[in-house]
Amino acid sequence: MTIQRQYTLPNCNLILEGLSTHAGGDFAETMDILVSAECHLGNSAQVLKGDRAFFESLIAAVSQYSQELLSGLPHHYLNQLKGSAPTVQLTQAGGPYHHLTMRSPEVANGSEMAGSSNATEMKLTTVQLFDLVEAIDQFLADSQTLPEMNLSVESLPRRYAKAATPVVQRALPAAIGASTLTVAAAALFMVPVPKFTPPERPAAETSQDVQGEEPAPGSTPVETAEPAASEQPADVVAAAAALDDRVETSPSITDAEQVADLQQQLETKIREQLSDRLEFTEDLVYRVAVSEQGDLIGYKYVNDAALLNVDETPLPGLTFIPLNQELVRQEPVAQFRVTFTPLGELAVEPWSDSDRAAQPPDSPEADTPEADAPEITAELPATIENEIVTPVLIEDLNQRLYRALRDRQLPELSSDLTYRVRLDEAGDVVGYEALDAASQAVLDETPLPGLATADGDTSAPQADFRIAFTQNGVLEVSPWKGWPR
Amino acid sequence: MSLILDSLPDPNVLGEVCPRRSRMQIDFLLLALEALDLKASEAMLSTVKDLELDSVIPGRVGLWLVRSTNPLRRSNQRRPLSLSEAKVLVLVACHLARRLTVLIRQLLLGYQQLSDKQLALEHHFRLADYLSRFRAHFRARMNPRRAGVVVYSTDEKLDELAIELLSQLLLCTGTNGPQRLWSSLFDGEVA
Repeated sequence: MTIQRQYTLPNCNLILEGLSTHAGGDFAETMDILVSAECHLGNSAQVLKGDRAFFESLIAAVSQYSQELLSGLPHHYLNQLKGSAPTVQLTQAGGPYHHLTMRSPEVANGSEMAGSSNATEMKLTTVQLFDLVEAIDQFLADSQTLPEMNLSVESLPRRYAKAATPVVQRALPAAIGASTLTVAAAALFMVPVPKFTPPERPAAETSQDVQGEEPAPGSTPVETAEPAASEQPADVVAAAAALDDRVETSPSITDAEQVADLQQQLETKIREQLSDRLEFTEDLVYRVAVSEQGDLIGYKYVNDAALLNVDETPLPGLTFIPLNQELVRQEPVAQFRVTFTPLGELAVEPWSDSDRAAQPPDSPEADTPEADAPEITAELPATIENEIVTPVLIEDLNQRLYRALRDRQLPELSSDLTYRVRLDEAGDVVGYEALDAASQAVLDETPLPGLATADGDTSAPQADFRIAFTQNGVLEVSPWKGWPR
Repeated sequence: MSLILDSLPDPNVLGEVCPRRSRMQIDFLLLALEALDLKASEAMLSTVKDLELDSVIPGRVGLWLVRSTNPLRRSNQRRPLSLSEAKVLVLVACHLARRLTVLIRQLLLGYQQLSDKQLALEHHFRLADYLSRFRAHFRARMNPRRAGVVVYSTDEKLDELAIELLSQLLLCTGTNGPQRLWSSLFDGEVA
């Protein structure tokens, strides 16, 4: 028995004719076999008509194309995969139109389309297309008609989507990236490579190290001593140099008891480290400086043998090399004469100035350190005979000194500078002195020498002031004995 | 999970979250619905409730958060859009589109007639209304610094997008609209 099913929408009329294999009640017959399918679209006289193969192709094309519209990604790669060109194809026709092509001899031409019998082309509007989709959807949802046909939609696999993007579009990001790199490289090529400048050492330190290492010109044993010195480890030289500074600039410990104690400590220390085998033939004599805490802070060779054989002695190992040279420079020291004999005996005794006199005259250090080491200018007598005590005058002088210094140009400072300045009643600078080695080193660059005008008549009333130039460029002036109450 | 969500099959995507293009596409469709119907945003909330899906997208803030997964939005959340959240959005969009079927058909018909006569789209009052509203919505909510938004910097480009979305919404109104839309969201993304 022939069954006809019709799905009618405003722009689409889908008519299916088929047979039922099950003889059931006339009310609920199921169409199992499709004989023919007819599709009338819009006002067009053209009718799409065909067998089951055509109908299946129509469903597939419509499903694919509607999904193409929804996602914007073409699905025809799937058809190429299947190999055969489908009977029905839908393509974009620009604007609101879509192109339906049916490749089949079975196109029922209305009348005048006889010329193109093997292909039918139709132009569908979006609404017509939707009605076609909806007619098919309604058929698929109808369980009474061809129930084995179901909606089959599947997402496009990734490998086909890639091909959908044009090569130019895909290459664009890479091209932009490469050109950006080129431009950046060209621009950066113009920028000079930054220069590395090693941090500057404080001026005072540098000058003193040099002075410590250099023997005085004209002293004879320079030739013999120098090669040996250069063979020594750097710290030995540094230690010797350090002693130069300290011995000359540091106050000495005078308390006899303390000196005896330190002497004992030093002897014990050296003995502990003294090896049994001493390979030298002459007595080694060193001048050693010890801090209040008993640290060995420097030593110096008194004879040539001592210089050559310094590594045989424990002195280099015992020397305490301070991190902050500026701080220890102010530390009081005790000096000792340390003698190592070839027989392994050790003698430690306090250093006396008579030792210096007894030194061989050709010793490199004998006459140099005193001459070369920077000496703080002691231009000022420590005490003032006639000191100004009037508070008002002191304040006034302080103010005047401050004003005089305020506008002067200062050199680039690597550390704070402190000076003691003496003024007379009129506010003229009678004298000045640096309070530490660093200040002494740059004394000539400060405005102080230019300020000293008055002659040092010590009987006139005078007052001392302390001035400080800090690294930050701040000038501080204050009365030496504090602000009067 | 709700039975209605099971009508949409889980696609074979990485990490069980929606890819970038789907997040953009679904938010754009909802944006087009808002341009069609002034009350669409309220309707979305009530639809979520009617379909009993408010366990997946709870309330107004939840809806806003889910829509903000669109990478082009100013308020982009950088959070993933889970498959069930996307399913709810698809169902809501199709549900609302179906209610607006008549209007959508009218507008598409009007667009076709105007383009046949090569007339400007402003001649169709209702269509012009939709387009201008869509442009306003789009510019207010999308981040203009994004390359994906810069593409739509002109009115013409935005109109094209709006018409494209209108035809897509029409396809959503169909019997199998949700399935077709859902499947299209993962085009080019499945293994």
